[in-house]
Amino acid sequence: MNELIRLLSYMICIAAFLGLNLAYLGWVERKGAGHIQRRTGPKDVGPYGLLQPLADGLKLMSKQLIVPANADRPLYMCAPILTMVPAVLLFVAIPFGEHLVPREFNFGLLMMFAFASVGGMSILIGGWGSGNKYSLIAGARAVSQNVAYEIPMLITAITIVMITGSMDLNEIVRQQGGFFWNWNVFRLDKSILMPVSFLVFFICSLAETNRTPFDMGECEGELVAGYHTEYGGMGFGLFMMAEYANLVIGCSLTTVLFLGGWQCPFGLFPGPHWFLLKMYFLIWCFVWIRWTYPRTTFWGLLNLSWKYLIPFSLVNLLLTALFIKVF
Amino acid sequence: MNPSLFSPEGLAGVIFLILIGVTMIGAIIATCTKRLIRSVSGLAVCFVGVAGLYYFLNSPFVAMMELLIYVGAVCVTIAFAIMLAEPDEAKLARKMSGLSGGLAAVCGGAVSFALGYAAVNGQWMAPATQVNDGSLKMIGASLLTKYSMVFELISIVLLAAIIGSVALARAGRRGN
Amino acid sequence: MMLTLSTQLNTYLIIGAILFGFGIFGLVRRPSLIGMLIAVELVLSGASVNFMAFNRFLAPDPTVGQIITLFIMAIAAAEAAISLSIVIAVYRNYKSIEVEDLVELKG
Repeated sequence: MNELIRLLSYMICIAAFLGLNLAYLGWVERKGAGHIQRRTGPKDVGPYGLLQPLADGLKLMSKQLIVPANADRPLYMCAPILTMVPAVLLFVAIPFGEHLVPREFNFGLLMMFAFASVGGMSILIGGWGSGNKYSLIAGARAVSQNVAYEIPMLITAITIVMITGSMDLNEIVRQQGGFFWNWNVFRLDKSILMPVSFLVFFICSLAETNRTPFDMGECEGELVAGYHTEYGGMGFGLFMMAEYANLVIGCSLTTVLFLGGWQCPFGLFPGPHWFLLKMYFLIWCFVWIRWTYPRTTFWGLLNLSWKYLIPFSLVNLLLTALFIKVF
Repeated sequence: MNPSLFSPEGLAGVIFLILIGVTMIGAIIATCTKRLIRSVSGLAVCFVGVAGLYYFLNSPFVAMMELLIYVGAVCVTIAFAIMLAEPDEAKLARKMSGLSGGLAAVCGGAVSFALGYAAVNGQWMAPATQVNDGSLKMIGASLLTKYSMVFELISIVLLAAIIGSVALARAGRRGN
Repeated sequence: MMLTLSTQLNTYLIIGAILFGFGIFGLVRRPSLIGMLIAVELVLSGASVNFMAFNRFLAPDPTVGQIITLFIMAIAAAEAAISLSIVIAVYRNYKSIEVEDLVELKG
């Protein structure tokens, strides 16, 4: 019974955390975009525009949900929900603090990647269900990008698993205790290319969550709005929320694997505050990169993955194995 | 003995029944709809159900791999192929009604009844001892020591599949 | 009894048999190549469930069933990839993916 109450309270807390984040990450993005582009972002609704997400939510909820005539109705209706479900589900395994993890799975890392690939299928369903050939092309592009960048991500994660000896996310964080040079990004005794593999993982997270410079799936200039062209009102809202939820998951995973999760850089007071600090720093980097770099071309994007990142990560894997065996 | 509904075993039983339902609904959607893309979605739902069944069978690793490989890769590949090889929906719908429905039901029913009968009435003997506990660590150890041949064979099969697919795709493109 | 179904072997064997039956049903019913591929995936799933059930309840070495299931998954993925390449190549030549239209053997 105790366990049930614990799980229920975690579910409520995760729902609250997620809801707050999804709403206010949009605000952070727009303010950041504004200031990077030398203007202020939203500032009318509430002080500093802080009530803007509420206004946006109300607007989206009050719009009519138009279903296009030759859309496949069950698929069209299910796609936003199916995109949201894996993103929310993954919060169960993320260690916010030493004992602040809803459920400790000893295959936590594998779970992250499994549900991320399920998310790829739902993009395809959304693109097809719209009955619009531009949405379909955009959906196919987004999925091929997703699949291409999953591979270096998986291989780099295998490197971390080899170093740690466990797929449990909390265990990976525990082994990065002590000072900040114990964090996996700085552990050059395990592989000389570790900071570069952190960079590879970061780039793959950018591509997996469909953020610029890799947002072929939703670029406005070319394909109207990509695979969520035909969605209005709350369907679009759900797609946007799923994108931000994937963003939070991607940044949390990068923090846990490479930057030491809830460990303090000086070994003093480990706790969830360090985790949140590092995660929000990475999210800020994502926003910064989005409004600084132009978009890549589609073949440039796929070339980057298949021709550069995958061979590099394979070499890194062999190098890590060599280092672990020899040193 | 019967566990009560709100104990952990009872709730696990309820979730198991839901998973069986999801698997069956997915299989029904996969075989009975006229449109191929709905069929693939039903297949994906069925695989999610089967992954849940694997979780109940004490192997979460295989459950996650099922989600990763089947739903994330195989279903996506089939959906891509459906997009590239546009099926003629009207022709498919016409073909599927008629006698083939009854014949198919008889075939499928007969096969599953035979298998089920053989399974339920078989005398399966439990082994005396368990060699290891089947955890993830043991799978890794087995794959690299006792069953390393299987491991290498899988990689050769996948390599052959990749080379074959790329060769087929390139030949078509150069022909056009 | 309904709530303890997950701890009995027969449940899983019957589920495997039913999935196999659905696969055969789909295979006979569907006139297009991709539809048949989907049914074949169901057949393979049924066989995998059967292997895993025996692995859990009756196997002396519980890693063997899981390794076999991973093997089946890899084979199914490779098979799906190759057969979909063949389907696309066939579609380029015949402009259709129904089995009734694929009647010529080049001779």
